[in-house]
Amino acid sequence: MNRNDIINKREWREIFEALPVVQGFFGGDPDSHGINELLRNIAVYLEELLAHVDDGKPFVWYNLGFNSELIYALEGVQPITIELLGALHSLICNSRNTLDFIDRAQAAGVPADCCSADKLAIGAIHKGLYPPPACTVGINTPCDAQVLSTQVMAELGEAPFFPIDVPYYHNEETILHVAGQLKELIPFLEENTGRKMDIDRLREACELSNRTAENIWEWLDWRKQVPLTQSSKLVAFTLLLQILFIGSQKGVDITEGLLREARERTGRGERFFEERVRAIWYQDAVWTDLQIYDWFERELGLTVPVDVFGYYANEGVIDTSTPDTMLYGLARKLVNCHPMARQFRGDIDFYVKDFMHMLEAFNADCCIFAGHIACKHAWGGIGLFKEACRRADIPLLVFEFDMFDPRVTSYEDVYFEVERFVNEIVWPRKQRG
Amino acid sequence: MAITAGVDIGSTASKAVLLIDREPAAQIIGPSSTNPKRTAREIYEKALAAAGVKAGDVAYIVGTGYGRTQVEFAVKNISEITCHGRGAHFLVPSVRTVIDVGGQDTKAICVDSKGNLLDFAMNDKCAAGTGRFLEAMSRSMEVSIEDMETYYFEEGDPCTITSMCSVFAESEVINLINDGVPLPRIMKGLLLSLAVRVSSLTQRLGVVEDIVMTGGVAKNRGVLDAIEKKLKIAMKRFNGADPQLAGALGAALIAADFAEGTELGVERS
Repeated sequence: MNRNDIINKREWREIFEALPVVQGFFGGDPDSHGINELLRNIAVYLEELLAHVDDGKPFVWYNLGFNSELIYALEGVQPITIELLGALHSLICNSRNTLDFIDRAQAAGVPADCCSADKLAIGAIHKGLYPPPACTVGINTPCDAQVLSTQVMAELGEAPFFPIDVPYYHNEETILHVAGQLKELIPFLEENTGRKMDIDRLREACELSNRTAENIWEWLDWRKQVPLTQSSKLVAFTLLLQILFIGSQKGVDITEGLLREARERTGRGERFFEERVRAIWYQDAVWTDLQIYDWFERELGLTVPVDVFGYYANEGVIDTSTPDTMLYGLARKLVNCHPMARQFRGDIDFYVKDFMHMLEAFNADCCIFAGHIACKHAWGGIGLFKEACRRADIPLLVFEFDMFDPRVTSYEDVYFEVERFVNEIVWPRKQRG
Repeated sequence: MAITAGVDIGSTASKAVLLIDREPAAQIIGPSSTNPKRTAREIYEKALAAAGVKAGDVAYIVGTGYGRTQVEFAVKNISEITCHGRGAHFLVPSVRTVIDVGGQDTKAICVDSKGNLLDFAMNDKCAAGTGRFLEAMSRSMEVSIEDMETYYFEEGDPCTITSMCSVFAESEVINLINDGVPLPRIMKGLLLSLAVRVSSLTQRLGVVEDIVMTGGVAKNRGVLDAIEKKLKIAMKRFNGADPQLAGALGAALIAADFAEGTELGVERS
């Protein structure tokens, strides 16, 4: 297999063709350091991926709930999250391919009411689009539905599979349990990739991970400022950063770009647009077309300082003094910081508590519960969540949609729901004081 | 003298209300059509004629309802949720919860002491619990909408009919008819099934009294009774005012706010 085997596949070719166009588009704005860094690092990552294919180096596949530090700690091993192609096609607004992945997964027997994030991953695997893995790592987070895509990864990846089972409970035992599994993962990775884990390299990956996390926390602090000085859609992009680049220099570069942009814009006192209403977008981003956030800003004066995926809980940095402390820190990050894994594991209290914290910290006026239709965790707790919002007297919009499939609820319908909520409830209420 | 108008283009019926100094001067109801622009124009002209007012004398017009964007001559268009809340509050100032059962959706609306919209919940994905559901059942049972309430108040225990899906409910009704179940029992079951749907939607918001019901279905006393039974709360009545006109009335009142500059600076396209 060489790079042409990848590039010649339409689904990859369209990304390689579109990425420079998107880079050119955002590159035209010298202030968009965050997104420019994200796009630049995606391009670097993809070039590395092709070079790895040419060199016959090993790949490790994993799913949405896992973080990449341990893989970066293995010299010459390339991480691939199985949601990669779906995320990249969403980033370049190529819904034809995302829908194609979804339809392919359904044609292969995945029920229509399963999460489209899983279907994107399964569709891409079914089409044989990813370079074959040396081994695969599956984790049952950020939600239970991931078990489906990890099973497909295990069966169709045709490589040894390592499952990580995260318990439901929010306690010390859970972190220790996951840390123990990460310890067992190391020899598994070494054996199947043929690379030896270098502790110094792991320490370096953890330090880069810490710097990335600290940058995200600081960046989130900038987003608490009123008015918001950066685009709302940037929070959606941080998901890719967290699953693919954390533990690498790329993660640091992207977050430093975001930070620099926030500092400069805020320093200049620049308003990104006329902000009227701030919302916590509590659930999934509209990945089918992220430009909808620009429309919200321009037409409604609605800003989204943070959403579930952009919120990175500050649960402490990884202690890099010993291998065990590093594994403990990585485990804590996986269960306590990783978006959704934190909120959708166990009871719903964390979900509600985090929202109340975001509402206050980010000075929000309301909540938009963009209910990803297959998310049983969020919908399962909607009654309690509504009750909490009602008690706190917070305007709440609830609507159904699918974050990757506009056939469920169209872009126009999402806009209609949000427009009515902002213009007829939140803004008049804010005016009345 | 301020003359303002509200035009409500609904899925089944279209309504226009003309106000002179905030008092109703004309109220018109007509069927909606496949040409909402023409319907809006016609119903508005009828209201002008009924009030003896020239179009040029109208200071402000607000369009509302599903077809509100088709009311080309409206200065603003505002959703029917806000308008029903406002109209109901004008008719019953103590109202805090408005249940609007229209042709193709059902809404529960919370308003404050001034009639401002606080919150709402709606069912716009399923015909169960809407006027369309009643129409379909009326056809199946060969009973006019008007006669439904007569049967509802006759003797007999209600049958149990699903409240989840109008298609399945229709099958159930046909089975009951074929089983020889008396119409009053079926009718009671039907209206109670609609009431279950509506009351559960309303309870999602948290029921705050006083409650009124607007929309065309509110004219059916059987439905009102069934919903009151399910909510276990007596709803206020409009004392002669037509509940179907609440949306157009609210639109005309909001138009008066804009005309007088008392609207809360809410920009709407």
